[in-house]
Amino acid sequence: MTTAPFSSDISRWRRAALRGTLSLELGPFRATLGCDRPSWAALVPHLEALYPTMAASDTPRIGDQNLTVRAPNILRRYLRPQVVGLPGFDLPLVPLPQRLAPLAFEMAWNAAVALDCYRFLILHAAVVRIGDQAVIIAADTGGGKSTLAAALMEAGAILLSDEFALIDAASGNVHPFPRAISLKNESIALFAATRRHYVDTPKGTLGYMPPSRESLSVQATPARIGRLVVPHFGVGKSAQNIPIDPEKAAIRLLRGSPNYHALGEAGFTALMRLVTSAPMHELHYGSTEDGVALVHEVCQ
Amino acid sequence: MTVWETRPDDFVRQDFTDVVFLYDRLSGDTHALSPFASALLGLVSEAPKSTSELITMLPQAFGLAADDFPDGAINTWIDELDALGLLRPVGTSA
Repeated sequence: MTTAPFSSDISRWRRAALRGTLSLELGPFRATLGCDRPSWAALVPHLEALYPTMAASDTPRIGDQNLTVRAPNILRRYLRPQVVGLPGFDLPLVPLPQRLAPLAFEMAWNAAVALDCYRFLILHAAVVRIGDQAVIIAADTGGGKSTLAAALMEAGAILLSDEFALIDAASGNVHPFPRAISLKNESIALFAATRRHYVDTPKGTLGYMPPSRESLSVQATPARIGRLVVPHFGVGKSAQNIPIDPEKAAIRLLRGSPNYHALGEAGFTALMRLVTSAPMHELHYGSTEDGVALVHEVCQ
Repeated sequence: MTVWETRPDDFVRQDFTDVVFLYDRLSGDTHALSPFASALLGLVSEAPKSTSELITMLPQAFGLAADDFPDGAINTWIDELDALGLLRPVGTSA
């Protein structure tokens, strides 16, 4: 029943994964994972490099998410091998080459949280903690959410999440879910701490930056949300901080929530409390250094 | 002339400077209302009102004259609130 760090006993986790009973715990979630042999072999280096201390267990348990990473059919296990990451419910999926099993795993966990979790108001955003306040970095297409989160982490912020803000509707606090930061293309070279690289993916080249030790140490501690920022990176842009009215902030955040409508009144109340208690700023910048400086400026 | 009513107990509202957000407990929809649409709803919340009463009362609520509003604007807002299920007709007046 006890858990152990993932890197402590890979052969034990292998047996559990092949049975479909491996449990992985991060932040508020426990995911159960099942794999076929080739997918497990491709996935292990990814998990060892990025999540060596993630709590794992081989005791069959009920998971918040039930993930399966395997070939889409028996033929594709051997002939031009492919892989799919199943989030535990029906979802149209495009198979990936088997070498991209780690991406299939990450995408499946993202899909399971985004589309099948109703414990939290979920926003598509990265979250860092600076001092005692959480800063939500709301996603805007191409805005540079993950790059800014990685740069802030290198500058001493604590990464709480790269992909989702998990907001407790009752308290208004955000729960950490410190998955590895997914960086794309040109952003990868900016960070020496990037560990795993995957070329020719549907999103170009991807690199993953592991959460810091500090991030993992506070993964069970919810944080008060102090600021909301919307990054807009553009080559040659001068640094600019534009305060956003709370009503406009509400509409932006609504668009980036996969489960707002499913939560009903609790979601409305949580969203309105968020935009009336945490100011939103649109940040325009032409360099990552300027982006980091702007975030620290709005947090003062 | 149509008489309108609403169901204020089914709404949760959050007022901002230029927008009122309204969550409808029955439909689960969130609406972003202009101050005028919100004021119309407020007038009907007090007691059912006819279209002609609303055309008279809404400008007064903002300290404006009836002809300060574009022709047909208030009728259009009433129709839109009806289409959203926020107002409903309960009868006609003379």
